[in-house]
Amino acid sequence: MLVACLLVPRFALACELADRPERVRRASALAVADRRVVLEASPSAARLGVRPGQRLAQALAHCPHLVVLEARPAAYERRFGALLDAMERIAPLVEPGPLGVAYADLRGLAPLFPRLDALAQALLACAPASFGARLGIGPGKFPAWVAARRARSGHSCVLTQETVVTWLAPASVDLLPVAADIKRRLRLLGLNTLGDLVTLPRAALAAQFGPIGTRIYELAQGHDDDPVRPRPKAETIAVRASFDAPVASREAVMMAFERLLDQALRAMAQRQRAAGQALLRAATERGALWERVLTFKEALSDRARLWAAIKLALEQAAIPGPVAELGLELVALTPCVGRQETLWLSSETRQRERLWEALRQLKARYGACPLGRVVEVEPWSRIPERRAAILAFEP
Amino acid sequence: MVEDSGAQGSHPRLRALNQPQPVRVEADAEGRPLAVVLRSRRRRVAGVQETWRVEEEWWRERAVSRQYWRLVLEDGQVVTVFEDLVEGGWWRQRV
Repeated sequence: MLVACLLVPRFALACELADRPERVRRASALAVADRRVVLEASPSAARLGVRPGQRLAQALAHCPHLVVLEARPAAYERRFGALLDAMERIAPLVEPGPLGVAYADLRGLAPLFPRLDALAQALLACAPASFGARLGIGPGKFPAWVAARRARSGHSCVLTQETVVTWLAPASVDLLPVAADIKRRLRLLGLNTLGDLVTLPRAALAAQFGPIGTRIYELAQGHDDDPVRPRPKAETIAVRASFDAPVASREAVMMAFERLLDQALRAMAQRQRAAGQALLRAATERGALWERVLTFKEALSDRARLWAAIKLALEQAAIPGPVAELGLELVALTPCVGRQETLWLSSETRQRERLWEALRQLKARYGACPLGRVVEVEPWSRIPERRAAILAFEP
Repeated sequence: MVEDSGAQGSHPRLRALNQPQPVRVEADAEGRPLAVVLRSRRRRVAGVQETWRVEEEWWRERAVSRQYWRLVLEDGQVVTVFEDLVEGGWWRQRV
């Protein structure tokens, strides 16, 4: 089994570099932090003692001029998802690892890519050049990952079945995908490299560590039969909205979400689906993200029930600043289950249906509905044009 | 290259209401309006009802700095205009 591992070291920092180049390039030492804990540190910051997992106060004590960026996990996930999509256009079986690591099963690709280096180049091109991605190819996920770690930025490293054992031999046992306690015990036994493990009989490792010992032995030999498990494909409906000027009013944010829900429900009705989950997302003008996943007890297609859940989440939301962009995704879609509707419509419902029909006809005639809904945005603002806005009305 | 993954869906917008409209204003050296041109007709300023300054959003790249004037014109009409102190120019707006 030939497997490729695409590795983007310090993925979050790479994303920040791509999204906020002016801020990131100026910084001599940089860290991405979430909840006062360092997630990733630039090489220059790492040289000054800043480490992932360190408390921010501690990191700033090591490096007072450290520039700290607030982590945007959703943005990183989105970029990583796009990277996986790009890889799937080349190799059909792609497995996401931790953020910035992806495996691809290369079996069956020889007719498309007769030369392995052309395939390697195509996979490397799945990540933007600024990401400095590395590619490892080997006879399993573990050797491919180790090869990717050793490859130079923007280059690939290929291990064959014949060379893999000698190539892995100098690698540290710390690279093994086993619990920290096992690694500590290996070190206590004087087994510091994978080469040390290869010299031992398989039975000795099995006797010491049980089934994990056998796996360690196989990995040191460059055998990794763990298959590439492609990510499950989820059908989603995603809609987004943006504001001309960032909005601080919760009412305006809720109105916009209501409008997005209507838009998403139209797409969902066309596909005759019901949603099991809703993902709400709000991005502030500074790029901070608020996200909330709502999981419903049963798949919903009913607007009133969906809105009730979303509204409640928005009322309780602590959005970290004026909102510039909103997103709503309906996921875990399932076929619609029939629901019993009432036979007799109230006069109010009939009136509303007539009104909506008139609006639909207006839309059909003019291409877009010429009506808008006036919403208060920042009624307290001293800038008159910020006080209210027109939200396009979609029948 | 990585493409934008959020491909689905359109981008509805909130359109601001009461956007300022450009207006021609003649002012003295100190920036006090002397005349306003409305519908191609010059109208002299008969009096100033009120003037105030709006300094907002100085933390953003495009700060807002405006000097507002509520003016009574020679024909009795009351208009509110402001001078954009960041980018220059005069604007009319309902307040």
